[in-house]
Amino acid sequence: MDHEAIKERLLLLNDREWAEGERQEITAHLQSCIECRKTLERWQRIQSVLARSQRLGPSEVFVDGVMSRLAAREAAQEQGTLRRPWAFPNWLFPALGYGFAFLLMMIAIESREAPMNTAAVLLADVPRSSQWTFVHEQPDFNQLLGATKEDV
Amino acid sequence: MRSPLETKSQDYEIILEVLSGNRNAYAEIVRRYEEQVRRYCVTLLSDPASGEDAAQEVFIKAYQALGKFRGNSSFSTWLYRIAANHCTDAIRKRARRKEESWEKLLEDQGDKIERLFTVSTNETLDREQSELVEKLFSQLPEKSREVLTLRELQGLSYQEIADALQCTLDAVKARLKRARQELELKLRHFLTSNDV
Repeated sequence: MDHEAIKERLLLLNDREWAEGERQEITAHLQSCIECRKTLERWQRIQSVLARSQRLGPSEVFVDGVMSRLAAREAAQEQGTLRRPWAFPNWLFPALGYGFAFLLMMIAIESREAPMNTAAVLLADVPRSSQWTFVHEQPDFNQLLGATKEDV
Repeated sequence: MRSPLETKSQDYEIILEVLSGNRNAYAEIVRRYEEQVRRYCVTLLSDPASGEDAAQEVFIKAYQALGKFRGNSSFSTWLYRIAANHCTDAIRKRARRKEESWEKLLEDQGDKIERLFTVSTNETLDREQSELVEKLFSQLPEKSREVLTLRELQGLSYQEIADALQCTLDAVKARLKRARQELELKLRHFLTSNDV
């Protein structure tokens, strides 16, 4: 490993997270490299301060706090269960929603007006006797002229 | 002093007892891990009151999820995972707190910081000095504070950190390297003062 690679892995050595081969290589490099030695020393100085920092110490008050909070939560949960004698199944919410939506859809379909005939709209103001000129079907001329078959 | 294996089997025994309906047995679990969890939460949230409160919530969440603990990692690692998630949420939820700036900290307590890093001793830091260390940590970004606390203050191995933070070993190494560089950069004036 070259200097840069060792510099990268220097703190692994300090953390005792190395492979055996690496340890020997890094230790040998440290003998000759002042820069790496100083980097390691700097970090060891920080680590020694952090390691000496005071722990909080055991606290029975904390343990009691957790246990009483736990008891309070469980009591609240039990109360919640008592207030609701039967369990409301969660799937019922979406099912009711879909059911209501389906009902609305059916009502809309039922009350829908019949599709409007375009010809009927266009011919609304045209006199009945002239309407045949605008439609594809040929009118019954006899009927149009007011004659019956017997007459013919 | 209990061996890790002994601790693990005792933890399992207590957990089984709690799961069988004896809630009071959970107090023993809290007693075993409260110091670690409290310290982690207090350092991460940079505030003793909200840290203690968060630690209590962590134990309650752990109790509620106890049935899901599979024992793939140690119980303490599992607790750290819950604590890390809870503290991340707490940091996101709380209104942006005005942290004391690094410049202000240097101005007010520069002498004390210097003494901390230049006087060589093996004595445990007093309460005020320990709080100063916590303040130094509070100057780091959340992710760096998280990984550095687990490694330097809690003494977890890289693998345990990876389990607690649910990331890979390489990610732990990268985050740790970055966090150390950030802390070293902050302290560079104090660390170079007695370099030869």
